[in-house]
Amino acid sequence: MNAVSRLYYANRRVVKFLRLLAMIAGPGILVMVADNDAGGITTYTATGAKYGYALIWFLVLLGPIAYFVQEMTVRLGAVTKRGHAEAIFDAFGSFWGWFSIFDLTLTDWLTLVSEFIGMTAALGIFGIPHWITTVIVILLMAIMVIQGRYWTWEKIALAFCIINLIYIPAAFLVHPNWSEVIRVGWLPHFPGGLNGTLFFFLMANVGTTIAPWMVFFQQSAVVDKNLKEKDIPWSQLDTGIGAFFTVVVAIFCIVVTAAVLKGVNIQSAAEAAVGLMPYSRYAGTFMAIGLFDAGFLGAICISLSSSWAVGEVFGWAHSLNNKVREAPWFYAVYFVMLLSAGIVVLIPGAPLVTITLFVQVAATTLLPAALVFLILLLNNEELMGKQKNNRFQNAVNFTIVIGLILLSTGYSLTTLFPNWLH
Amino acid sequence: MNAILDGFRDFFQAIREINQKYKTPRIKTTRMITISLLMLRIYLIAMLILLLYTFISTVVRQIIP
Repeated sequence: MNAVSRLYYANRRVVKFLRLLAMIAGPGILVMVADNDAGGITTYTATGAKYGYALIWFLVLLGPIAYFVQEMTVRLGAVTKRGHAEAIFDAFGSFWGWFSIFDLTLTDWLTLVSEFIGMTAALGIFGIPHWITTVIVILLMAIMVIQGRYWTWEKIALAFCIINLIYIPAAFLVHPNWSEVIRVGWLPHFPGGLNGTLFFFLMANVGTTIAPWMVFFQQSAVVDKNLKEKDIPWSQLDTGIGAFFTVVVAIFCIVVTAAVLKGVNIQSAAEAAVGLMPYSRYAGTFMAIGLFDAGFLGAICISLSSSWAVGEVFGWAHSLNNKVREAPWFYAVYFVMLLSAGIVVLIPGAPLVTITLFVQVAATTLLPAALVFLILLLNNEELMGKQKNNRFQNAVNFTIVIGLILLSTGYSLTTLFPNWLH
Repeated sequence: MNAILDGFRDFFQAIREINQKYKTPRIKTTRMITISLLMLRIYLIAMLILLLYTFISTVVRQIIP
């Protein structure tokens, strides 16, 4: 027996575990990493520039919250074999069903526009015109979906997730004071007291961590991947790994801006990338690449979540395993969303700031609806059988959902009436 | 023109069929579900009124400075 065979034999359990994980992992990691989209990166850079390392502890708390919410979609998808939109239609009737579809499509389209804003701004730093970025993105996303296999699409998307880790080397390039990062960042406290501005930043970070599209996307992806009840523990692990990475990326993103741009008023991640250039050209470049990748990951997941949901409800073929001619309407919705969002960014004088602001309000206002349906469905024994929420899960999830509803309502109100907390 | 009209007719027909298919909610309506959905309705209506108020007041402020 040669050395390789001996090594394999000695670690065959680990190899089998990793092989199974590689087969089942995907939707959880994807949805969590894509959660750090262009809007998310902008929020983290602004948080780092405003409060330095002081709010890192808060992002650490958001990891488990994201995990518990998304884990529910895994069980719901694996047990019911239905996407979230179809599950709402079936359980609560057509009124709430149409409301959910309208809510999802509107927020998805607006978020997609904000992803294009992020991507064009990121490549604009390297002198690439906005229209070229838009065309490249649409072509790349078309190539990813029309090859006709969910598995291939997922693995390409996971490769883009790896690029999201670029904020880790970027943080090392700006030479932060690591002992300060640990001392200030890991101790839960509210810098300057819990005032209106801090509350706004906390809510913005919550708003970027949980979004309605994530609930719809992961459930549909679980169904499209044909995951079964026996795969639930693996999918939970997949979601847990994703939650871990989403927090790691967010922390390193904050470290980058906190180390160099503390005290600077940052409005967008692209602005942060430009601000980093004089200090470290590589860090600024990494920030810009990371922003493009974040927008791209967000765009590939968001556009799919809508086409999956609409396909489910209208009864059209709606799988990435279908060729274009087998599921024309599914791909039509996908490309209409993508093209229309891309075109908006290219319109001279388009109200992009208003759109970005409205995305935040719409997503956080409509988040409670998605969460209420999720928790009601997960408590239905007839639907979920033994995968129904147990007491512990209910205690955790009810606390999270009520907390998120209060925070997202507060965030919407703060955005609509900026002076109400001041 | 006829093709477009036919397309719209098919689309609305599909919506009617979906409404018919999901006419009755499958989930058993417990007290918790009734209260949750009622609170959700009130929340959404309140947020919609606030959104409209902000939008109208912003527009009015722009027209009458």
